[in-house]
This record gives sequence, C-alpha cells and structure tokens, in this order.
Amino acid sequence: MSPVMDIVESAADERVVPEGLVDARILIADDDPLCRRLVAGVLRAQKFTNIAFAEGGLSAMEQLRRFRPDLLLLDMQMPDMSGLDVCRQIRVQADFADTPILVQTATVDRKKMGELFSAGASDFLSKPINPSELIARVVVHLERWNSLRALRDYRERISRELDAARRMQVELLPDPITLQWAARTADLRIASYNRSSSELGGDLWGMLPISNGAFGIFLADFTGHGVNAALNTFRLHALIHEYKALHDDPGALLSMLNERLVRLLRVGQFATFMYVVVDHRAGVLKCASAGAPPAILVQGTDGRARLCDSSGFPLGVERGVRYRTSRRKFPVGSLLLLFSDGISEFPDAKGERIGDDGLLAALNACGPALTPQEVIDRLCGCAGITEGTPLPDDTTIVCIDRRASPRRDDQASCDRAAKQLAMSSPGGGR
Amino acid sequence: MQIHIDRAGGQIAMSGEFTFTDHIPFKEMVTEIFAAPGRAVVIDLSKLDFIDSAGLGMLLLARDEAKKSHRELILRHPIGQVKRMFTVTRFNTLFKVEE
Repeated sequence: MSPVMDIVESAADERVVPEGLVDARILIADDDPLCRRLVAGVLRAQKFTNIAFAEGGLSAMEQLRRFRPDLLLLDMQMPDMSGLDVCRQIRVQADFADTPILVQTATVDRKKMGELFSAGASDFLSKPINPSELIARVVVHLERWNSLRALRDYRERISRELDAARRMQVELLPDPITLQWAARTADLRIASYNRSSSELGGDLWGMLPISNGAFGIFLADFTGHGVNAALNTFRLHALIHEYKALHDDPGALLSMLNERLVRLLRVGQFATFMYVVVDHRAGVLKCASAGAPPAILVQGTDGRARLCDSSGFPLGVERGVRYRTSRRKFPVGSLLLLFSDGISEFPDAKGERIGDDGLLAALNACGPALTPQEVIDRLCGCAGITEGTPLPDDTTIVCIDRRASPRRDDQASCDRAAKQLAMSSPGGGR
Repeated sequence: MQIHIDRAGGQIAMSGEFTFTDHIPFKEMVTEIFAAPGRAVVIDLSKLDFIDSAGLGMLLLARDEAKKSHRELILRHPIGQVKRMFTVTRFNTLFKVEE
C-alpha cells in the first residue's frame, strides 16, 4: 500500500479547528503532485482554505516572498533543493525567523532529525502522513505562532507609545535656548543632567523666568518611577504654570502645590520638591524645600561648599502645610547645585552610595576652572555613574554657576535667542 | 529587604534595604498584620540600613491602614540613612517614632 493510500484510509478524525486559524496561509512544498493534493485535501476538510503550493525548493523560496505563509509544510526530499537547505535559507530572513516549518520525512533517523532541527525546522511529520497528526501539529504551531505575533505586536505598540510619551516628557524640560537666554541675562551659567531609569521618569525640573533677569529653578522627584510617576510630572508641570503669581514666592508656591497635589495623589504617592529663586541683582537666593535632598551651595569666591537644610514635608502628604522661604546670599563667585536622590543614592559597582556628604566633598575638590557641565560630569563620575550605566532611579542635576562671568559673545546672539524664545513659546514674550 | 512578622505581638522587624522592589511583600504584610487583632503595630527599623522614597511611600500606606482600622502605628528606632530621611521629610512628625 502506498503512503498516499494511507492518508485516505485513516482520514476519519472529526476534530474542530479553532476559529481564527482557518484563514491562516499555508504553503505546501512537495515535488510529488499527488502528495500536494492529498495534504491539501486533509487541510481543506478542516476548512483551511488559504493554501498555496510549491513544486520544489526554489519555488518554495519564491512563494515564501509572494504568498508570505503563516506555516510551511515542507517535503524533505525534493530534486532541486533539499528540505534542510530550504529551512536554512528561510531562517536567515528576519521576516520568517519564527514562521513554523513542519517537515515531512520518511526517515526517523535520530542524527538526521537533529540536523533538521538545527537547520530551523519547527517540527516534523513522519510519512506516511496521518491526517489527525497533520491537523494537530498544524493547529499547535499556528496557535503558537499567533500568540507570539500578538505578543510582539503588543510589545511594539507599547514601545512606540512609550517613545512618544518620553519625547513629550523631554519637551517639559527647559529648552536650551530659554536656558541660555536666562543665563546670559543673569550673567551666569546653567548646566543640567537628566536621565530616567526607564523610558519614562518621575523627575522633573524647570526654569521659570520672573522679572529683571531673576528666575526660579525647581526640581521635583515623584515616588517610584515609570508611567505612574511620569504622569504625575505632567500634572505638576501644569500646576506650576497655573500659579505664575507665586513664582517669586517659593514658600507660597510650595504651599499651594501641596494643597493641590494632596487632593490629586493617592496615599503613598508624593513628590519631593526644591524651588530656588535666583536674583542676581540682589545677589540673593530665595529657597523652599519639600523634603528634597539638600542643595549644595558655595557662597562667593572663597566659599566652601556646604549643604543647605532642605527639610519639609514632601508635597502631597499632609493638608495645610505652610512652607517657609529662606534667603541666602548668592554673590558673584557662588555656585548652587540641585540634585535628585538618583545621584546621591546611586549604588556603585561595590553597592556603595556617595550620599549628600560624598557629593559635598566631590564638589569641594572641583577646581574653579571647571565649567558647570564639567562639574556635573565630575560628580557623576565620583558617584559611579557613567554614560552607559543603567540607572535604578531617575536622576537630575542642575548647576547654577556665578563663579566666572560667562564668555561675553556679541549682544546679537542673546537677542537672537530671545527672539527664538518668543516665537517658540506662546507665553515667552510676556 | 527581609521582614520578620510576630503576629501575636503585632511586631514587624525589617532589615536590609527598603525600596521600590519591596512593594508587594510589604503590602501583603501590612494587610496581614492589620487583619490580626490587637492594638498597636510596631515596625522595628533598627536593622534597616536604607530607605528610598518608594519605601517612605509604603510607610504612608501602612499609616493609612492603621488609621482606617483605628490602630496605633509605631516606628521603632530608625538609624543612619533611614533616620536622616525621616528628618529631612519630617516623617518623624507624621508618625509616632520611638528612638
């Protein structure tokens, strides 16, 4: 009895193919026309209708490109190309790296089977083909392929959306033109560092222009990280800009933000927050803090770096908290460093953290010739953070530097920056 | 982080580092300890080396749970970085902290 007759005689199974699979594209590659017809007959009996054929290896490769099958039934012995070679050639193509390939073979030689799988076959069907086995294996592999594809599509979609959200979050940060403009107007330099532990972060910092060259700098850090914390940074950004009248009064701004956030945030969520108004004309800083890490301040050319008390309830924990504004001298030659705990609590290769005191010591060791960006790079290095290091927490550092007057370019570039600013942000000209 | 629970005595002893990753075990532990009868719940922090803001957030959850079930929550003997975090965030005034 021929293998072909076998198919006909035992085709009596009444299994039902799950809905959604019968539309799958199935390619049957076999040089024997009778085999092709009978395998197709078994599939059609189970309502598979999307079937294409290839008469050999070369034609299978051609059909792969044109028909783009969801599953390939491949005969092992074809005159123009062996099933092994077809498998190998399919697997090198990224689009078909996971497509199920079921190889039909008459031999059940263990060594040959090993070769078959290492060439990329997903499974095998021994000849003579048994219809129930054929259908069962086709269904298993199509289901597996479908869930793999669904998972991959889902991951790609999420990744695209996170990417878009990340770009939006980056847009919340001060743009370089605005910063440069504020720095030049106040005759100082500003440098910053901001990196999230994942696509989205719970850190936010910003610059709020006030008047006469004075400006406010805030740095916020929401509990946790990821989507939840990131959405809270958007809320906070909107709130801060809602209270423009309070931008010159740090204590009042924090008190107001706290009242709003305490009603918005769930129990267990909060933000540490530091706000400093830099008034270069008066040579004064006005600060308020809601449990943020202490700012580090160097006062005047001969000053040593020291930690500023930053104690206070984090925003969003308790109702009715009154935050106080403290004033500090900020003469020419001074430097102010704000940072989130992402740097002070970063565990280095030995699991050690630099801490507030370690940052203080590192800043004291920085020479006066370093630019604020170089100071930040130096501090990151001391903490063990390098370019590619994955960060366990979102990390933000802002350095405001009055130690040396910034290089005076012509007034034109400043005006240019101001003009661009007025065009890029609707509120910028006010 | 390691947690040792003494249900009968309403005592929890935490050691190691209390961070973002301990969210689920801590929440389960809080649910469990407040489900058991008793008056005060004591969290012993004397062997806790480190707490981050997520850890502080979880303590706020425990505080909320205590309020809801009319129980007293006591944080016992914070040291080192944990103590400093309590000071800077004024958590030492939000909780009953025993030195």
